[in-house]
Amino acid sequence: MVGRRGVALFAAALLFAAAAPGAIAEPTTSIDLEIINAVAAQDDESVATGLGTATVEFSDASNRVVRPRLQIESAFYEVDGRASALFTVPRAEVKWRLPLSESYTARFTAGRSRLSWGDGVVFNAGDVINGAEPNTLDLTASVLRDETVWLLSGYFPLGRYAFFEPLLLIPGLELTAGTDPAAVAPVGADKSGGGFRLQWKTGQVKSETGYVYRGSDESHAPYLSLQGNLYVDWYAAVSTRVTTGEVEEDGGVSATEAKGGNATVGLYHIAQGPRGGSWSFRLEGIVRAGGDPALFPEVTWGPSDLFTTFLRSTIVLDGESSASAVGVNWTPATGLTLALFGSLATGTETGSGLAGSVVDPEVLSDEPLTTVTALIRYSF
Amino acid sequence: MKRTATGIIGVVIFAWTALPVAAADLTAEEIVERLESNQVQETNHATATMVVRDRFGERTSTMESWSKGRDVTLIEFTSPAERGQKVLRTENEIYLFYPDAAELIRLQGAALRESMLGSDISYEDMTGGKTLLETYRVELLGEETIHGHRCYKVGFEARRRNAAYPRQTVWIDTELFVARRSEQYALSGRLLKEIEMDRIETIGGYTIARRMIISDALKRNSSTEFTLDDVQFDIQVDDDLFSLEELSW
Repeated sequence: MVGRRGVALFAAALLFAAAAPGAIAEPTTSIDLEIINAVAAQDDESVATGLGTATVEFSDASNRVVRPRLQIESAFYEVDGRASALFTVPRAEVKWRLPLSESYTARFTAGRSRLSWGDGVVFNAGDVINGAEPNTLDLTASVLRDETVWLLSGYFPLGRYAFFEPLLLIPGLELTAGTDPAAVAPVGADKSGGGFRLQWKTGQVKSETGYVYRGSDESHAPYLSLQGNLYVDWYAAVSTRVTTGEVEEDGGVSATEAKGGNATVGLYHIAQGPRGGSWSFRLEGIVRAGGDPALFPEVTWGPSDLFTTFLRSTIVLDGESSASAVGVNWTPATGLTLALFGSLATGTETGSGLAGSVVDPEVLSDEPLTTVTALIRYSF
Repeated sequence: MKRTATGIIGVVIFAWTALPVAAADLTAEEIVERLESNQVQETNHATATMVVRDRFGERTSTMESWSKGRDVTLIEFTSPAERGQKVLRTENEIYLFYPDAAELIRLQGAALRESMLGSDISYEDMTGGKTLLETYRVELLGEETIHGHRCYKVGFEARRRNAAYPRQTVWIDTELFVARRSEQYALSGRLLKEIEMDRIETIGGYTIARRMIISDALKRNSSTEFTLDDVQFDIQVDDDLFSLEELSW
């Protein structure tokens, strides 16, 4: 049995290894800089704030055997006139190919990465890794779901369109002294998880099935996802989650057995406008255990892809909670995007993030929250 | 021998390679066969620059592409704003990969008409796989001079309703058998796109147009300039390059 000290040393060795010079041989650097100015109003009060984000990414796309990718994100802002910043590492992954025979090569991924199982922009019951719906949702974001997890995965091709993807989910460190980020310790190996995905094509339908086990709450989550086209593109998924372990409820711990499930469906269609612009229509819906059904409608229109507009909403069918955003994206020059968004959130549904826009849904009251955001993005 | 469209996009099928041949009293079918038979490469690897201009602004994207046979093409965008985005065309499908969302999107139906990265090139332009004569009935409409070069004017009419363009007119150089201009029309006869090809060069034994300017007639002041920065023919390209594994790599 490995003692607590041994585990700590093991974790320290891992951290040291992570800090050592990596496999990036000829890094390509990309930088995304966003300057955001926003005004929010609720209950006769309004606040204004300016902040920015900078995402620096290093990768090595030229290597055919090993592909590292490191993404460092910084949110920067002013507090009492002094510059402050908060750094995160949303992605730190290494992919490598390993020949298993003369004619067969498998692929592996390790680190903090994203696996996107199933189909769905907002609602995706097939995403048993990150959840059928996002924990927080910014309707003004260009990518609505980009959660990452610490994982080790394999990719075994089964022909051009099919593959088998086993997955090991490795728990991160946990805080041992309040919120002090330096006071961390590894968690028990029994908190690990894992699963697999199998994707193939049946006729013109893309089929996908998989399963994930999470040691943290001893839950089992199988899913089935289908995607095809019948006049419009469609996708549907169903998943269930059976929890047999201890589930924390309201600060206490209680032994329980729980079952839950989600079913999602989506439709997507794009049409040419009479004068050359394009319209796109998307409608996603979710039926979820323990919550009201919800919808995600989205309409986009662009006279040019250099100038696009959108209207998207999340509507919880309890009749009380919704969030909507309308926006304009303009790319006047290479790498530069100017955007203006307005959003309106009403209702008090929390936990799902569906009623939240650019604010924490916990702060929502019955009064509508209105925000206007101007964004300048430059990629170089 | 396998035949390839050699291009990053299906539109280029008209544009690229040609060998000088003597041409006299050729039928439209023979002219088109010469056009296509000059596009005989096992494989193709290219780096290219695409400049999109319209009344809202201008955007430059760079990319690298690989093709093998007539059916399969893989494009990876290398410019900072789109770095890592990939497009895979295999047979009648298009797959897109967005690295941040780690999302593999399969395009079918009307979504294929969406423009690729805001250009005047649609994903549907990339689909194909059949020869021109399998897809179109052709008719020799005469000869005209394009930018000082004598060209056959050939009309194309789609054999099936689901062709990307029901009607086309292509001006094919009478000596080089490379297209110098193309116009694409809707079934109603409305002009959809115009393509001009220039910078004709011989590379690796093949004569190709290194630059195309594509104008979408439905959009005001809109054009896409597509330039081949580097191109190699008949090199070793692994079949595994055109797979979902490579797309998500």
